[in-house]
Amino acid sequence: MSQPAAAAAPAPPPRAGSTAYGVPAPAVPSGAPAPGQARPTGMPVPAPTPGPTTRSGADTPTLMRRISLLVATVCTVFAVVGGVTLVDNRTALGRAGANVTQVVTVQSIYGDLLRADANATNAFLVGGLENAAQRADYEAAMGRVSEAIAAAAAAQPADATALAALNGLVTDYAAGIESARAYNREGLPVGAQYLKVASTTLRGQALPILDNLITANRDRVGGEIDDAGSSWPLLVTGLLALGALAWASVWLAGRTRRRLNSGLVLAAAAVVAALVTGTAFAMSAASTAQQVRNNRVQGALSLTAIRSAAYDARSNESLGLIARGQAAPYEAQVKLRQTQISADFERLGRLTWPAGSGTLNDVTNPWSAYVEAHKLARSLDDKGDWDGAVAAVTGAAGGPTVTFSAFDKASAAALGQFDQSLQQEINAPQGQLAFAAFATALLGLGAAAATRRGFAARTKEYE
Amino acid sequence: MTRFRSGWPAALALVGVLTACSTAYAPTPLPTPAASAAATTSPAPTTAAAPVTCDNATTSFSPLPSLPQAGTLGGRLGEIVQRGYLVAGVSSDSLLLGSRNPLTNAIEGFDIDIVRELARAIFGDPNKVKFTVITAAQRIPALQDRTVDVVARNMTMTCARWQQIAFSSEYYHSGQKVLVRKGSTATKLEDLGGQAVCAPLGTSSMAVLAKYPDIKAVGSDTHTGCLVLFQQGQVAAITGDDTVLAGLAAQDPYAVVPKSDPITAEPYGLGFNKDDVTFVKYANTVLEQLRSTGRWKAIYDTWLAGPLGPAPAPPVAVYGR
Repeated sequence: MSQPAAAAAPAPPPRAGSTAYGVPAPAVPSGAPAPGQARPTGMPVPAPTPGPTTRSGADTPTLMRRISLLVATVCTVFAVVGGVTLVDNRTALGRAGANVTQVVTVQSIYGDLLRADANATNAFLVGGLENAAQRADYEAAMGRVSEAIAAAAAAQPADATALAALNGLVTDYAAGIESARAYNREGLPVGAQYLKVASTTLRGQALPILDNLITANRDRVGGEIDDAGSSWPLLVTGLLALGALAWASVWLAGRTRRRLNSGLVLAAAAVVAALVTGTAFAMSAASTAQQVRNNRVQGALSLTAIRSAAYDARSNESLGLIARGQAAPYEAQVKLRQTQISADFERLGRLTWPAGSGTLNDVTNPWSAYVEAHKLARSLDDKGDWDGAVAAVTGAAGGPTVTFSAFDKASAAALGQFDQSLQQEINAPQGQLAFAAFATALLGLGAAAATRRGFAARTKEYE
Repeated sequence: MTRFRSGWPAALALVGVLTACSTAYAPTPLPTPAASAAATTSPAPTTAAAPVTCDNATTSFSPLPSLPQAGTLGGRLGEIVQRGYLVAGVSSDSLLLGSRNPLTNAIEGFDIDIVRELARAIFGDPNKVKFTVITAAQRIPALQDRTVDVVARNMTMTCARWQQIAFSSEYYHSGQKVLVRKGSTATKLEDLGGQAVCAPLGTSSMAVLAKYPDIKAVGSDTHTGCLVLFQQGQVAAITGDDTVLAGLAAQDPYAVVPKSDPITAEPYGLGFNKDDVTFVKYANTVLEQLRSTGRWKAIYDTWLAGPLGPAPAPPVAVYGR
């Protein structure tokens, strides 16, 4: 670090009346004189002589060294804390992104389990030998569930216990479905009971675990985004460093009769620069993170919630027909899910969709078509035409199966777009934060060095 | 100066405190376990009601002199004719009595055929029935709130139920027995002390089971639910009507119904809303015709002759209510 010219020049001994720059020194008699100012005016000060001892017993050069070290330490603390705060902000953003991924993974487990269940119950509804494509879809969904549980457990150790419990229930569920299938193929009614028990276990025990996982990870996303915007340790230590520098300046001016110490001025400038840079980048990252949360995270969460609710509605459509004449509780669940989905669509409508992606209508139109198809099938059953309703639900061409499949594809595409832009946008400020962390640390350490230099020039005068 | 070096560890400690915060999250909590819906341990709700005694549980309303024409039917029957189909509360999982055939999706069995005969009398078409699947415990509420017109779900005529609903004349005479594992020496409930025995909630079988304090009574929503618990080893035996148990034993080669005297007599009647007296009289007229024309025996032979042996004489109807 280069020494400023003024500070490099041999400092004259402290004197009263004027400073080295020809500016009148503060009037000595005004106020209570500091212990070091008690010298008679105009008297030359013997430079090497140690200053008069203070109340604590230390002389001026020793005090100077101590204060110099103290202020430099405060500046160093600022450098480290400021840098670490910004690095922490950066990793918090990264963790927020990872937590969003975990929410999406867990939601995909939710969706795939209900998709598998919709397939199993629907195959049961058809009667006789199940449709091979439907069975393949069930197998694929259960395969994805296993993979996603393993991936989610590896990604978040805090979820491991919940996921282990879930894994046990998923195994029970799959075993129940296999028993149901085997008995069903033999034409025995106990198969239906195994299906019912499996479905009850899934909804009553497995899905609540997934609800907890979604809530926990969503809270973690929120916590990390708050954390990413929090720069108070940077501010507090920065202001502390500035305060220490100001106090040291005042103290030094009193001791040396010179108003400004260039080293301390430089240090203060470095701290201010670091504060401004660090805070600006932290605020900008926080605002980006908030935007990502309000837009992309909200969008991804709404879309995953919509998909899960839709699968549940689809399962309940089949269950309502299996219940044969007792569809009311299942239809109530369908209605509840439809209301939830409408509310989520409204939320989605208020968001800015990622550039280049589709629009809300791409998802709502197929959903509306499915809702209409469902309504038609349900009205057939309500009129007593159970066979007609089953044919409509399980058949092709404009029925619930076809329209639901279209909705499934459209909502998956929209979710993919939100997730992709989310990861891009949340990663963008990470580079800036890394730069800000480096700059803050460097400027803080520079301030410490400048402080030491500034004091050293004064201390030398006593040697 | 050396004294101030102690400031460095302090500063580093501060940094440590600031950076150590929250990289590990609290574990995701597990939901608090809810009571399992699959198996519920008694006391069964039926035991709470004070026992109602009478000596005319099988006594129903006298039949009409002859079946009236569909067009002339009024009251409840008129509404059903207007609607175009009968709504019957049935079981979809009691093999032989009322169960869904997974291969054809049709609900079929002894009870189902009896209801179809009722529809044939009203509409001239045995298929004009909408089957509503109900559990044993839903039989009385479904009649009271008129979700269904008639219940044909192996329902025992009891004095207590007569206070809530109306019954047709007896259309089948069953008896309560036990189903045990193949090789078991138990043949009746007395032999099953200390073991878990399953019966559906809200049934007269559960009420009987509750009279054996040594037995751990386990409830399920249907008999087939009991069979799942039996196959999973959660219960040692199932108790219920011989007809129902025969249907369960037919689905599991390791389940047997030992030969024994029935624990109780279980007269089956079709259930109706208490106010539908004319409808009950109409149904009794139809049942009289089934008995006299041999149709009752034909239906028995279709479903029950295999597992339960040759057809007995149809139960004798008792009237005078």
